[in-house]
Amino acid sequence: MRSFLGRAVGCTVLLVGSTTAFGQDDDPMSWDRRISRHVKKYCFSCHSEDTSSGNVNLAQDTDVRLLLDHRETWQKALVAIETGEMPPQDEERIPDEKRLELIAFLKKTLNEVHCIDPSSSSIQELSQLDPGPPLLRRLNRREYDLTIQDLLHINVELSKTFPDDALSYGFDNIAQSLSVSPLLIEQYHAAAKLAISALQANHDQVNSVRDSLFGMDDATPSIDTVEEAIASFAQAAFRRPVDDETVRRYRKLYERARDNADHATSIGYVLQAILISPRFLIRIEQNQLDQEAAYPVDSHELINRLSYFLWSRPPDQELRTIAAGESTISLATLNQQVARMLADPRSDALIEGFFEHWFDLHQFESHAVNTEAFPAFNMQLQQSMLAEVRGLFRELVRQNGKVTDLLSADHTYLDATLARHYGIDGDFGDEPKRVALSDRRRGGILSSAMWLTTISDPGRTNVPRRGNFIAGQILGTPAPPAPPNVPALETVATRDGPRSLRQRLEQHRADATCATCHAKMDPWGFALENYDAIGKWRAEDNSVPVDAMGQFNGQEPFVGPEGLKNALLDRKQEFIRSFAKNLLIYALGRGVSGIDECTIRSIVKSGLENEDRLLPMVQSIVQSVPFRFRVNPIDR
Amino acid sequence: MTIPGLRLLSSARGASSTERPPVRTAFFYVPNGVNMADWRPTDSERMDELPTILKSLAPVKDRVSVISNFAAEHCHATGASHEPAGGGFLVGAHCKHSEVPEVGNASVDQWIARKHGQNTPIESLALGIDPGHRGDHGYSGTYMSHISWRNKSTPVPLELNPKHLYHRLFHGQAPNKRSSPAQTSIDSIDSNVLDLVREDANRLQRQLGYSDRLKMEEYMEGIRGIEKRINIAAQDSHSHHQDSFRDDPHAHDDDPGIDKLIIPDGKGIPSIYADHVNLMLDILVTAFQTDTTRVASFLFSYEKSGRSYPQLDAPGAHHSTSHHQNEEKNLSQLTRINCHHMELFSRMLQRMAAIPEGAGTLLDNVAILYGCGISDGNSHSNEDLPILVAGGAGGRWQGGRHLKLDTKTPICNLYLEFLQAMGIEQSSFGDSTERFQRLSV
Repeated sequence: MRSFLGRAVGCTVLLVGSTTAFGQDDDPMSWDRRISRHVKKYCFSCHSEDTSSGNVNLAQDTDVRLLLDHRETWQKALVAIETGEMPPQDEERIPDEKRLELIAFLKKTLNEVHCIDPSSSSIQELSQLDPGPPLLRRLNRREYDLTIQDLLHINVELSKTFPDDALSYGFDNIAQSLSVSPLLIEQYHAAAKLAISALQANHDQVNSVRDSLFGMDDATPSIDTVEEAIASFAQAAFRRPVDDETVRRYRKLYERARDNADHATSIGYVLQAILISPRFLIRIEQNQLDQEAAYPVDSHELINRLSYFLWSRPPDQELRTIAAGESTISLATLNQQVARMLADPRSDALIEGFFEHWFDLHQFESHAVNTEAFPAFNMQLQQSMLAEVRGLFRELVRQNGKVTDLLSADHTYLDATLARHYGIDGDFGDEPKRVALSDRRRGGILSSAMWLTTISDPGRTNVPRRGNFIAGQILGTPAPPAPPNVPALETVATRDGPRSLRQRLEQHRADATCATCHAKMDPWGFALENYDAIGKWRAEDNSVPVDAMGQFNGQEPFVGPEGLKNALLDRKQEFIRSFAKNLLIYALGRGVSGIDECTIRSIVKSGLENEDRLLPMVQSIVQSVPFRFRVNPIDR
Repeated sequence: MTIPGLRLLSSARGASSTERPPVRTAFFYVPNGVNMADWRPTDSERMDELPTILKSLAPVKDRVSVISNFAAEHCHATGASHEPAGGGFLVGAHCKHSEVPEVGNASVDQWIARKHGQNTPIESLALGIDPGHRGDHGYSGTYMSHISWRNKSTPVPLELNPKHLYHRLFHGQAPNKRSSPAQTSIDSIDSNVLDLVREDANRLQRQLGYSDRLKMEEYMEGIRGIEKRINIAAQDSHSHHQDSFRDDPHAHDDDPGIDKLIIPDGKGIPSIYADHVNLMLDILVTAFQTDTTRVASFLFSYEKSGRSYPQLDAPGAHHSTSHHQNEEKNLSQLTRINCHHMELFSRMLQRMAAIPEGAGTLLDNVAILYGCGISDGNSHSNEDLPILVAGGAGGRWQGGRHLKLDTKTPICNLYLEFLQAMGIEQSSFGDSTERFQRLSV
């Protein structure tokens, strides 16, 4: 029943003119009768299940709904067909009439999305939309530590012994990849015991949690007092009100333990049971069985979503008070809270969880620089690099900065070590300080030593890798994967003296099989060639002067970081869309698909209409249907 | 000959003293393929002269067979090479092209663990050295860092830290010391706690969708695991684990010694790669020796690893070097990396060969695979894989040979032989066509 409903909802929302799409035999816009046949005839020989050339598989989309699920692929296909890039020269051409039909169909289907504004629509209207599947989200390592700290008021990092959380889409908080395994449960069990000992041992400081649970050791605290303490702890641990039945069961456990043990030991068992309960370890939301369509999550669930999104931790007192007071939290209140939470230092968790993962900077610490080739690289420099990037991210997040500052900023954060590395004169000390920059060689993440180092090989720069990151992550248009049997990069390189990497790469690109992909990424990387493998400015590579010119086929060339920054700012819309999409993935803990098109568009719109600022984009996510709504599981 | 460790082991489990030691199995994975020219033995059957990469196996050569021409068709995918090679290697089916990982089934080691896990305190181990990396081209990075899969969507989490691993396996007790057991009395309250938690999970289970139910089942499995360990500790409170350390003549051969690094407050992860690997493998040997587990997998690094090996004069990123472009400089670096991994592996085999067990040694009672889902790293070929097996599989396997097969023999045929060695009769696994029987004595 639900799956039928879900499908029907998708069609009415996304497909204007769906009646014509499924029309008569002679309707040129009929997918079944005409368009799918064109695609089959002219595209499938390269883009089907068996041979998905360039990682593009068009054959899997057997109906319009699936096609819309893979909107981005078809968007690229549309461009390729329109520009004549596809089908390629050596394949059969599409006759003009069919080609125009195909283009018209794709344009209509892909572009005419009917979106409604989630901030000004009724619950009834919004509940007809698809918020995506309901998913259990296990706390990841960062969330676990912060949750324990908030809950017990102790400063421990117990997740160090846990296995790393799997990355999907580059992030460590994706619901379906946060698997639960017996090993992990075993470690949660051990961590729970450690946390309880740490709480009991924490005598030096005032700790209200400890006092309320263990502080009543005057031999026999009354069972009612104990029950009260258990109830309030369980409520905090499970992050929502708990029912009497649950409290009663914990009380029973306490009483059983109390037969043979003292109060502290007995309450310890209760805490143990709570801290390895799935209700604590996993973020669980309640089904509302009377609902057929989507429905807003309750106010406790909403503040949890918000708090784990921006802070990777449970809601604080202010949020809890709001949830306790209002069964439906108004959008105005939500907006205020988002502003407060981003300005709060606890938003550092968003920097670590989202920004650093998006830019692959979490790899920085384990990135092994070849210190023989780069003796300047040491722990101090590493710290200074990190401090610069943290400074940039913090300003963006806490002060509602412009997301375009990630690409190009007129300021940065330097201490003496990094200023020396950058060759910037001035009065710098051990602490990083904000400085205005006089030129555009620095400023922004893409010209920061930290990112430039992380995205290099240990001993040299990696032009395609840098370029591929910009094309894929920054602009959202990843190049297709390399074909097998990549031909030699350097076979004739040694014949006539030293050559720069660029010359060798250009030679490599002369090969037609390599050219198509590299032409889409290398130019970005070339423009960054003035930065070596630890992000230091250089004029020469391998004794050859650096040529930092990048150029895409038939377009204006751009030179060096300044040219690159301008070229990227010219494509601001694509960047903001890619940013919005990634932030939405992080916020929802799932991949995005066709059902999320309206949400992505509204985030982008909020950014573009507000000087590219972060706060309105985050507010837009928090207001969106997938963030505020859920559906019951289909096969419950 | 009486072996104290084993006697303790069998009496603890109530087995008869004439019973053979159990066969234990492990799967070793090296990333990025190998330099095949320095791997492939030249003569067809006897390995009189070992090729460069295999040289270090000389002391245990008669317990090793190198097998040429195995292929892993299931590791092939259009659009990505390293992800499906790692993730699919032990599964025998293609990996789903998705950021949320999904493999065809449980991997062969976990298939075995399912059967043998009940007999040991720890069901299985999945060990590694490096955390993983973001995937590429829409493939999950999890594929590159995980070869062991409990089911199609749950990778076995990788344990990287020897200190934490050691504490988990042996309750943090110093080896070589007979101390009082960690758990003196098992409170029945412990099981009350777990009962309560289980009840909680059961109530939740009912309201979940399919994929989340699977997650909750894994949770319940974990709770059962804790119970099992508590029970084993209760029955076997004299902890045979500590005793058996004294039976290993090589337990303290190397610096850094296991106890210095791990106990009581070592830093956990050694800064030198070889030390880290040795420590993990020492713990693995001990876990096998004490029958703490019978199944393990080990990753020398994740697939597509860019680890640099400056200490071997191979300072480039391993992955970049593996795209050697037939350049001598790259090939020689690659060979050095391949040799290094093999030396560390060989050291472990030699330790196993020095541990008496039953009528032979521990090495006689293990079934070990070493290999990669990619042959040549430059071309990402999934044919003619670098594969070798080690151990006697409890008297089943003969070593000291190079076996050359028909081209494109599915590696899953070999997995059937592993299953058989572990007492699991099965007619097919993954894309197997028949059981590979040529290892048999």
